[in-house]
Amino acid sequence: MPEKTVKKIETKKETKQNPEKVVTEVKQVSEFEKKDIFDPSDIAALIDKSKVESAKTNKKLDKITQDQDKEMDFAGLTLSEEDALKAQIFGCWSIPLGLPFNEDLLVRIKLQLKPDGSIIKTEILDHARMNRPGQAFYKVLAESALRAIKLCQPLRVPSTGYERWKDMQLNFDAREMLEG
Amino acid sequence: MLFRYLFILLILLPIKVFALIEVDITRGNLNPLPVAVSPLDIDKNSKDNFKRILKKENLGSEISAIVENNLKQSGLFNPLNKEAFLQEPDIANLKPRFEDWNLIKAQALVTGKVTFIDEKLRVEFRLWDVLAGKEMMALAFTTVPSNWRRVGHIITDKVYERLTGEKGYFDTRIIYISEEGPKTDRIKKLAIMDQDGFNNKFLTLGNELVLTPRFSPTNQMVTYLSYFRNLPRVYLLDIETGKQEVVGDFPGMTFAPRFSPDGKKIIMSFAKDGNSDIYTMDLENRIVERISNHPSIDTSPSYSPDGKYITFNSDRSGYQQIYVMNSNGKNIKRISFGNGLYGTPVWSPRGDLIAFTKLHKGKFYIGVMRTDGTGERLLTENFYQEAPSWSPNGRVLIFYRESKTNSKGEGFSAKLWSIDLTGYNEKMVETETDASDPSWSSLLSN
Repeated sequence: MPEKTVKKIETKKETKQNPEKVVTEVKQVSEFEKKDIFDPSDIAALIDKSKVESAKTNKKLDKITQDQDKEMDFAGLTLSEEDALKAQIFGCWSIPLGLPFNEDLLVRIKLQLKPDGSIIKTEILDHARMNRPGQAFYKVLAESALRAIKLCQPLRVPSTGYERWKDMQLNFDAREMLEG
Repeated sequence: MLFRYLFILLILLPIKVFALIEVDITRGNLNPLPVAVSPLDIDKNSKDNFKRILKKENLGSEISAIVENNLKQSGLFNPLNKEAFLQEPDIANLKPRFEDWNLIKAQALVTGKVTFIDEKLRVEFRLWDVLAGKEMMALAFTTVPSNWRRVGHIITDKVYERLTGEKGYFDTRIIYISEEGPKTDRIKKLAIMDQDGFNNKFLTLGNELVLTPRFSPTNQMVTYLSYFRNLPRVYLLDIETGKQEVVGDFPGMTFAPRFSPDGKKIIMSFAKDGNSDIYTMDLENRIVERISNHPSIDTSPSYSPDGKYITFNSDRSGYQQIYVMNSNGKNIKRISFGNGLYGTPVWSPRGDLIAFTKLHKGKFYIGVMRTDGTGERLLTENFYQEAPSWSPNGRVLIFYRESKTNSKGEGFSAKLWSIDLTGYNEKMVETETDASDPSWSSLLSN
């Protein structure tokens, strides 16, 4: 039985009058949870994953109200959208095979995107680690991740909802591949 | 007042809050990285001088060919076809037009320049990140012209390290046993070559049987075993000076002397009073110390890179298996538990793995396991192969493989092969003669 993963995402809420960042914790449901709410009677959607998404979305849209619209903004990418993006980046990312597999090999990159998926700005979140002694492999990994993003752009982003994904974070984790 | 209304209005306005979308990228492609190695630029005067001294038409192209070949052999890089290059070497070295290199799908670019200054060879090179459009590294070397191949290897080491995060293994040599003649009457000589097979030299004449040469991990010293009047004798040979000395005569059935990580001791096994155990010898005072003491056969000792542990094989469980003990012989633990017989354990210079030879159901395997015996991976299988030796960065293993003879005893051969830790990049290492028992040196430029 796979463990359910719950990602905690920090969001910012800023107003001119309140310069202090108000951090709220929002729980994003995992893929397993998304599957739980899927309607098994929707046979067509079972056959075609893309239809699952469209079926689900349509169902929600039918019932949508103005109040719920605000909550929809937290939903992140749909499974299909996320899969398309991942598949694209998998193809572009040449993992440096010489890296030690027993180290912390997670590189987090924050992106600012244009509506067509091209990159406005990239920011390595643990940038200080790039030049730390004994962390040469981290720099190599971060550079490979940046190359992957540049090679892939424009990224396969959803055609709608730009406000939702104009800022995005990609977590490049090579451990699984290097241990393999 | 107006401000107060504005303030209330701002509070009441619906504010959309967007959670930052996070996407986990846990897979990538393991395809070799496309690299363009531009021929190194060379001016006419330098070209003429090097042609006169080295008999090489274009030294710039020759050095870049070494870099290209090394990168390709590593299996981690895909050097692109030079015919597709759009930019000339002289301009590429000053300021590459990244769009041109992007167009041929290069992700990294190596450019450089070769000059003849004061009878010396000066080589500068630059490594560029094509996609980021920036210089990653720029270095220059000056040396005697005859060192031109080494310059190519050193450049490769720098490029490799910058792009993979681990040290290279190209400016290195391999010592091995050269073999000639029929299987029953082989002439065996000590031989040495660059890791790419060039600059082969024979170090002994073949009058005496030589076995198991091993490089020191710290310098260019080699220890090996030779039979003098049918008695095994351990030798030390300084590759730089050619000076050779006898470390000592040992009883029959002496095996595989190997250096400690600091190069100050050798460790080996020999049979004393009919029992084979592990001993060390201090190279300064020549004091021999017994490390293991067991009625079983203990052989093939190899130190961990920190010198704290020793791995060896022993048949103390009834079958030959791999063990690890403290360097003082205490705390002996068996680490191999798979089916078959295990031998020739060698500790990785990185410290994380032990390479071994395994015999199971009539086939020989070269494999690796973690130092606690977990994570056993068999990298290659064959009729007969053994004696793995690590590249100094712990990424590649070199070993030898013998072929089957036919019913008349013909067709025997022994060749060197290399394989990297992925198990995919298996290659035969070209040698002038048949070859066995290879040992990889540390980096020469260290």
